Amino acid sequence: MKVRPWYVVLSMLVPSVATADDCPRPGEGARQLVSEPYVVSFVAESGVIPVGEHFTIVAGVCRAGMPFVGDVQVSADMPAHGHGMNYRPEVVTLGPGRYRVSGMMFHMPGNWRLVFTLDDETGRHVLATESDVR
Amino acid sequence: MTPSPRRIVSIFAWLVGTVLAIVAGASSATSLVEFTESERYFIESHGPWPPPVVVDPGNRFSGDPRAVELGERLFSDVRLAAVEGMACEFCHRRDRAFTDGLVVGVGRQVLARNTPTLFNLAYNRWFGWDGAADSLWAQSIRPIIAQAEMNADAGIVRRLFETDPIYRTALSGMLEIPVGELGDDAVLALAGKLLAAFQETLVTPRTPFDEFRDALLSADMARAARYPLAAQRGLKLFTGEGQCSLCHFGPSFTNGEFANIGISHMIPNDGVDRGRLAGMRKLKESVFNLTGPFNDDVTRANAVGTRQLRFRHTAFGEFRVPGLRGVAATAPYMHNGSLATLEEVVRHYSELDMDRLHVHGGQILRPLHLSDEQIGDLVAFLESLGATPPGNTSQSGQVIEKQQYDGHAEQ
Repeated sequence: MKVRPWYVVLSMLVPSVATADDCPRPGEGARQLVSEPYVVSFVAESGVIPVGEHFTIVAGVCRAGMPFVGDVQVSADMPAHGHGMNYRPEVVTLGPGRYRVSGMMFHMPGNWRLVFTLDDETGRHVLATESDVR
Repeated sequence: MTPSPRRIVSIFAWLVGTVLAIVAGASSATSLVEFTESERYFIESHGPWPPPVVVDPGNRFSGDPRAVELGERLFSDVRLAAVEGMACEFCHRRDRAFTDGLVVGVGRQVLARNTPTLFNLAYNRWFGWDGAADSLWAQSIRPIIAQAEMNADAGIVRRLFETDPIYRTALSGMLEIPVGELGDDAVLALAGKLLAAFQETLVTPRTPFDEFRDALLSADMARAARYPLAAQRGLKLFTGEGQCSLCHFGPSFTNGEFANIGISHMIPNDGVDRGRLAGMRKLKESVFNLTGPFNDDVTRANAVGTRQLRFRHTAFGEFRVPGLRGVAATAPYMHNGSLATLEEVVRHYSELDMDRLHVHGGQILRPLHLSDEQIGDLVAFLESLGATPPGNTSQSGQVIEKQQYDGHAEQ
């Protein structure tokens, strides 16, 4: 299965060169979500997002070019169908600003919205992107 | 020179043959339905078949020929039940695609749900209509100890393993400690794993649909054109306008998850079958789930779905999306066996009662108001998911004759 390009909904997709150098990068092919001063870079651990199978995401999260300090939650839903995932992803911190998100599953093909929710001392910040997953 | 009568006949025959060939060619050229890019994507997703052999990391006996043999023996062994004459195959009949052909199952008591087929279980994520088991071996334990079904217990299973020389001898070479020293749950887990090893071998064979899919993908149009037009039209509806492939996704024609499709969840005596909502609770409470001590995968990587299951109130009335391979042989249909034929199933979707669907279901499902011809086309497609035409019986027993609605177990 292949993953089609991700399209940003609530934030902007920008080239990796536009972000601060200290921001952790999860690996080759990572996508970026930017909602200044927050940047989320993420990639599927296996390189592809399958349909109907569990997968894991690794992500780097930054605030103002520094590793993010706070709480990170990840969710996903299909806006057109009005349902989310049947599983609750588990976010584990790997190091400063680095996270591993397991238990993801897109149980049908179509347009999925991936949402990163960041909580810090300034409040809640939501970065989201949509993609046609096939 | 005037041609001879024989020459005239020869030329005439050539002309007739040429015309017939042209007509046949034109017919062949028009005997393929045109599929959109999206429909082709879904068609591709429904294969290849058969998929690679799967070994269950949670079952140390998965793929072990000794276990397969013992499991098959156990499957037919009436001593496994505390009910005279009952065995697994009492309900999962080999001559009925491992179903019973009844509306709902009948063990010691009449049950609330239809008996599902055992084919292609090796590829499932969840087991049972409500997904109360996260492994085939755990699911295999359930009917053995269910009071309404086989009503056995660990003691009965242990005695069987200890007293029957075939089980005793074989197991002594497979286990580190004697069966007699295993705890009750361990004995049941052992029986479940042997049964699972056998059931994993039950895989439906290739079908006319698979021939069509592979031919289409390889652009072998002459071969693809052998697939009946009605089935092609049904496939187009299935993968296109009907959106059936969203849930009936992948090589097994199921995404392995759950859906509410507006089938009644009421059961006799004013009961309610809560479906997946209850299944999730049973799963979490089971000592045999994959987070427990009987999972043979020491990494517990195979337990991710159980660990991270999300409790959803919308799971009320949801039931597992069944695979569709060999579906023509497994009537009646739905979790409660309430639809007798494939035509009834298609008509149910065609005239969906939106008031009976949860909101999220309603955003995927909608009544299609299909014509009789379209309904026939979808049925033709569904029938093409069996290896042999309805009415035939394969030697392997993997595809069984089309079942007629029995109805005598309608309670």
